[in-house]
Amino acid sequence: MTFSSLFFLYFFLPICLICYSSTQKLEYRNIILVIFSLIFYAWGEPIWVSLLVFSAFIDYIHGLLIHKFRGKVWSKIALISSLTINLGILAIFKYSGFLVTNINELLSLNLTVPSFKLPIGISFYTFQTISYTIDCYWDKVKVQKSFLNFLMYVSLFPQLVAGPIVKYSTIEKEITSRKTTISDLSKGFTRVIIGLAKKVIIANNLSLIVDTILGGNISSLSYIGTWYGAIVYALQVYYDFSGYSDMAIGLGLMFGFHFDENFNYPFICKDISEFWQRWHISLGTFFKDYLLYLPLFGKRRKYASLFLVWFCTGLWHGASWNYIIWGLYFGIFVFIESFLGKKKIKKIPMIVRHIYSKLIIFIGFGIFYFENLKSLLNFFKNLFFINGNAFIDDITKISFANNIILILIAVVFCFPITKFIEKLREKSTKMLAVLDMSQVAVNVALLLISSIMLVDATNNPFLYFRF
Amino acid sequence: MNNIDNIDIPILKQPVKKDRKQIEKSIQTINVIVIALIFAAISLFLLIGKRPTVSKTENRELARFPSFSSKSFFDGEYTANIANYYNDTVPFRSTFKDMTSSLRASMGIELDGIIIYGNVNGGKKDAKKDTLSAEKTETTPPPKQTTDETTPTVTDVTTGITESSPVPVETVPVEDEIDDIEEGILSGGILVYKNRGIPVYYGSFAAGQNYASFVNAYKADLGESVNVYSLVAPTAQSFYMPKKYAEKYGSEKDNLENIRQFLNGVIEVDAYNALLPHKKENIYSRTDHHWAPLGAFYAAQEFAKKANVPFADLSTYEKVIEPGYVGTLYGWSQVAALKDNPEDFIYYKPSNQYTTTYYDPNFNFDHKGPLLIKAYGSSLYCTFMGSDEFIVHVNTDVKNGRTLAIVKDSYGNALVPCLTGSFENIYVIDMRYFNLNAINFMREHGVTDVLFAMNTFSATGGNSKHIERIRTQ
Repeated sequence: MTFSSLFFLYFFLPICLICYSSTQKLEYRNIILVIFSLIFYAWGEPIWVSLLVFSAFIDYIHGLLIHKFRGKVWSKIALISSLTINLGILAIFKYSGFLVTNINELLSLNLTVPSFKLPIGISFYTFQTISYTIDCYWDKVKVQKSFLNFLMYVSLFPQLVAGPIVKYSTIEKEITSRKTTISDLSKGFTRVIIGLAKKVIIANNLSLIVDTILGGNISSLSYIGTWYGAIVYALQVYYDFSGYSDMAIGLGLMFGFHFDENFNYPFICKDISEFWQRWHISLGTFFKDYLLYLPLFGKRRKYASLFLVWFCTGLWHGASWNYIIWGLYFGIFVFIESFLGKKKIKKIPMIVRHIYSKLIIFIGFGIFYFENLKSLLNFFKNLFFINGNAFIDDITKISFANNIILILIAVVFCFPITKFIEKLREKSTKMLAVLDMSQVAVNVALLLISSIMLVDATNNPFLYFRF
Repeated sequence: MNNIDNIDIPILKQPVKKDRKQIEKSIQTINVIVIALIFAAISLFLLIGKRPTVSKTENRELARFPSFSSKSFFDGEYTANIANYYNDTVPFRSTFKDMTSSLRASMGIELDGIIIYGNVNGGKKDAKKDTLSAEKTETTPPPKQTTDETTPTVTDVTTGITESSPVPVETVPVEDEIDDIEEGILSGGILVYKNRGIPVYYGSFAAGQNYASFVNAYKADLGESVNVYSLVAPTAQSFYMPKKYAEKYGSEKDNLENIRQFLNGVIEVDAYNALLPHKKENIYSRTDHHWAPLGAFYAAQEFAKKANVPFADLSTYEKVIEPGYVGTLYGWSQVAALKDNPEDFIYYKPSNQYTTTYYDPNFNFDHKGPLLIKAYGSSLYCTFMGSDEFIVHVNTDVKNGRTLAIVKDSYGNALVPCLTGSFENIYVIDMRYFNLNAINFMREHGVTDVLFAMNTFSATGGNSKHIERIRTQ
């Protein structure tokens, strides 16, 4: 089930909200959330919902063991066991096919390639449960003694299938003590609507441009056409993924949960390190907290861990070489920036830093788009004008003209407009009233437009569902 | 003084903060109430509104509520189809889709009078690669066959095609589309130029050669006593695509010439040159992927010349005008310029006497009925026999002993009323749905002439494989 569908918005969600509000008792509310979350997941994965419950149960038990044997060797064994099972499940379902294919090619073998169907959201919920057991081991969170509460954390539908990766510590207290205020509810509705509009009005329509420009034969595409396609694709992924995160955060607020932000205007960054502090923040935070400082590489651990993080970032996105290249590609620039140091980078003129970061980001999204290495190579040739193709082609020109307002909107809202509005709100009470009432009107308009457009956008899942 | 200040400040600031909080809370309450009401209203509307079963603009049957089975439940199909049903059958669906197309149209402007939809960049690296100048040196027409191949005697009925729908679903630009974009046959893309939708054609000489070999096999099987003709109809791209864009795509003219050089014993009907002098007339629909009935008439006239049969003058037909026609190209692309500029669907009723009998794809009697039926909305092209799935037999008052079998895609439908004055019997076979052995069928019904009639997308696309399938099944 996808958030940006009429079925979810106008059937599943209202019933869930009605049931949730029918009781004030938090225990019952948690039970209702678990039931609806499992239905939500089983709707798309009627069999693999059992894997979700199994995974939650394993980590629940491991959490109890870690707690019981705290300070003893069994605690460490429990942690290792939990990590092995979690990463093992992920490896089997997500990476076994990729691994065997590569072994076959490398050693000229003919091993049967496993073809598991990737359970939706497995990359997200596995990381969440890992965060719990590690934090439990580090004694950063209290052990959760109720399986129901733990299952609710793992299966909570607002963040279940496409993030953000909500660490247990973030909502630990809210699992047993939370209240949905009118402010939360209002902010939640607004956030859901903004996320929906980002997906349906902007990302879905940008995807039509991407299909036209990059979806054809890349080897014949012009120089400008290739850059145009890569930029529009970067915008599409941003609006698609941040739209989903907005909806997840908004839905969380409606049920009294306060998730951390997952995006912070990534395209206004001045360097690649900053970009990753603003893009998919929950994934970066996860790797930073649990992988970057692992004592794996002795004295050279800083740089070696850094590359491990970027290798894993790429691999997390998909079992395909282009994702690994994509991750390492960004890793190289983060490494260079880290090597140069912040002081030297700050001396570089701002405009140069902006141009540099945008170029690297847009090329990076090209790598992200092309799973076929041959097409990826052609993409690079086009970018650097070594394909001998035209400088600009008519289809690119027409596509740009046909979508100029959409593209302008997409570019403008990459800037922190809302922060500017927030400052205006602070100026006077009158301004606050005008702006807040305008927000209500904007909400109504966006909700109606998005709903109308959804009639024509059936079965258009979020990009990050595949991860 | 300091003490007074300390006392004064909170007294002055408190009401402002309180005011702000109150205003904020009041507006938040309004926000929640308004949004909740909208959610409730839309939920109720979707729950009790009458759900449509068919989309006329998209020319398709909408999703049905799925029937339960444990298999469909456990593989996720059942639940997915419930959601699909809910999303697909929204009350007033076409109105909302029209609104969406208007919203999309407001997202940009036209350039050179052109709007693009879908993959119009899907061609080969060099679309001109499949041009005669380049290809002539690389390919050699096959040697002339000197012996007939063994006539297949297989009469097993296999139902390779399962799609069926009360609403005829046209398939030309999207059905077997994009088997392989790298092969550059079809892209599914549409270019709208001056309110005319033009499906983008890339062409493939290799596929054209295959087509020729398929129809050649019929000639070889049927022998000298049966005339076999190939009428591959160009599409709107050949006549209405602006020149500088046409160069980007495949040339239908060159692809037709390529087919011609591989035909062996099959008589070519040159529809391209028959239509070219009439390009300023209404020979192609602007909003639909088909040719207009008048275009089919000129092509049929050319065929009649080649077949040496009588052909009725256009003045003998009754002209029927159906205004407000918006065809399939709008349904596919949702480009508002097509919806906002409907056209007249003009067709011609033959004046001679004939009877029309409809059979299912296994040639079991279905019903007798008119050749030209009353069609509506975006389905007006279905005026011709209503659907592609039937095998149709037209028995006319022409007593010349000539029996024609038309093996066709939907382009061939519009030819049939133009030929009721030319042949004594006409059997209309849609190659995509026919379940019998075509050679046996033609022999059993004393066919004297076989006309392969389809557009370039079918001849050089995935549909052509059905020509061989129905010959060998």
